[in-house]
Amino acid sequence: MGLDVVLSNTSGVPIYEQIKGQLKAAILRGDVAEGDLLPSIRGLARDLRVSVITTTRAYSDLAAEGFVTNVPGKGSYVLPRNAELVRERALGEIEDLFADGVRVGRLAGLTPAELRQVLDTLIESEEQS
Amino acid sequence: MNPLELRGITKTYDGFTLGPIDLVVPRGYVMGLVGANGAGKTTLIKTSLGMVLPDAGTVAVVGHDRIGVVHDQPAYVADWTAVLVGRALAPFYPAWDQSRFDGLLAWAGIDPGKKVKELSRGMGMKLQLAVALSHGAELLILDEPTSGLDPLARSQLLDMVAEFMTEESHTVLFSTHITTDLEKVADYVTVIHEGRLLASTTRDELTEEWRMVHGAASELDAVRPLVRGLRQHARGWEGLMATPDTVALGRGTVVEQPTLEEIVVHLAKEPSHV
Amino acid sequence: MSDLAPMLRLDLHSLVAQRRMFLISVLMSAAFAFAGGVTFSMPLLAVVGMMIGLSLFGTAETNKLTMLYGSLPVRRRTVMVSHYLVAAGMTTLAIVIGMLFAGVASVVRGESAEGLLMSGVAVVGALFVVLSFMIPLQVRFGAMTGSFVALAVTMVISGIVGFGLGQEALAGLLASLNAAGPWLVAGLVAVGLVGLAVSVLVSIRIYERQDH
Repeated sequence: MGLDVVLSNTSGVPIYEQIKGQLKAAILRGDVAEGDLLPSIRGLARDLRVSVITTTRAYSDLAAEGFVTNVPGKGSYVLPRNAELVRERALGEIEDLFADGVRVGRLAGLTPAELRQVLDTLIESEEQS
Repeated sequence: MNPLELRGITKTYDGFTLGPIDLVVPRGYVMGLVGANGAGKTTLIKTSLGMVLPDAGTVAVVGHDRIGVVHDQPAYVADWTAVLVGRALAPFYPAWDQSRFDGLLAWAGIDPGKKVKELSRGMGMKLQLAVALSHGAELLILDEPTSGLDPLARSQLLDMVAEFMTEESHTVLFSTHITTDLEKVADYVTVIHEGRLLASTTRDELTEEWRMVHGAASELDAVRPLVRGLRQHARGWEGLMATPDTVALGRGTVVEQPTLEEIVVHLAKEPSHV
Repeated sequence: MSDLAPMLRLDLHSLVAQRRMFLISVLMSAAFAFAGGVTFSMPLLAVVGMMIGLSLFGTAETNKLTMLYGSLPVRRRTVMVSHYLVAAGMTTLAIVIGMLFAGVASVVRGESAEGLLMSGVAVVGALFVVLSFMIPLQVRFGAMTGSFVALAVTMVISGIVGFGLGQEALAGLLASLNAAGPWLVAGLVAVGLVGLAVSVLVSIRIYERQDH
């Protein structure tokens, strides 16, 4: 399946969030197709040497966010990507992240024009990579 | 049905009282039992196995044929060879799987003809593990299995535990004072200190209920009674605080999610001033 | 007691460390018998057999094995019954071997082997009585203290009997015991067996109430 999950002990991000984030990214990138079965909760716990509750939580969150469906006795299947839902969620997340940036900029005394400049530069460099 | 439930367990020895303790070990998960040496962990395990008779309380546990136990030292006759260990114990277990035992001896790198007294600590642990995993046990009880072990042997034990847990009917009770063993693999953690239960909850909840705080001296007086295991030094202080209590702290303090080790140490520690 | 058979095998396996000592004692017993010390050959081996049997109760090695018994699917009473059977068995086996050597030695030297069987059975009975009171003491107090207490009690009783009766009376008593023959021997064995039966019940009671 080519689904890799690589964890960091020192990143400060809780393990379950790292797992969730990487699986989500894999789904969004298309590394796993809709209808595919994800690794079992216990199998993943064994492979990553983490607790079963940790992987269970990651999968529950993914299900709550609409990325997978957990079928008892069978496993977790990747759901078709609901473009509308994904967009809405992304916008919510972006708003939060931008809010932080705006606040930091205001404290540092930057003008709205300078802030927009930063944003444009970032978007450009992201498109180039 | 949980493989082990202790209710109201009390045991008094000379100058030491254990309990009353309620402990439920939920099926399908790893329960870590942590605490300093002498806190009561081994007594609890012996009580669970019926080796120690409590003064009060009840023990509900699955049959011994469904339990595998690993101690810090093998409880076998020193002159037995590894193969004889299997032969002596197999008749007790209807579900004994000889090929699995032989396979586990091979995995452990134990020469079947080697005597128990000739085995290194790590090999001794792995021999016990081989026995514990060869009779269809659903509950694995590990009592300080990693003390004195080299990192490789410790890692091999944790590998086996992880493999054992892929079966959802399997449960592990892992008692240790080496908290780092449990940092990632424990689902639930029970903290014991001086015979009392300080906490018993999921490992995530435990690390969310508490915060490790490093602060400046000026901050201390306001929160002193709320700090567990306070350590004061010339440059400031550090200690464990309940998460809701940390809102009172100023910007200069560092507030972090604690490791299991920090929780156990600071809940048990007396305040000190260096 | 479906757990008795595995427990018996376990107990026999536990004695493996003492194999060598037993073998040496067997050889010594044979040597004594053929060198003419028939009277020594059997008691020597008998005592060794009994000591091996007693090593199942309350020694440091057994206390370590208690951790093993604690996790095995076996009841405490089965552990005790098995220990008793093996202890009595070892003692009897040692006496039988000793008797065989003594018997063969006697025949080889043209001496009478009569009375040998009687003495052998009498020794079995007597040692069973000894086991009956030593074992519960070892179970309760551990092998060191227990055997010390047992030894002290034996010495006190022997002292009382010896001094109380006097040398000649004692010799006379032994002679008449000899003369009383098969009935006395049978009686001794019966007392030994009853003693063991009572003893095992007492030991089970102690063992079931102990913390391990």
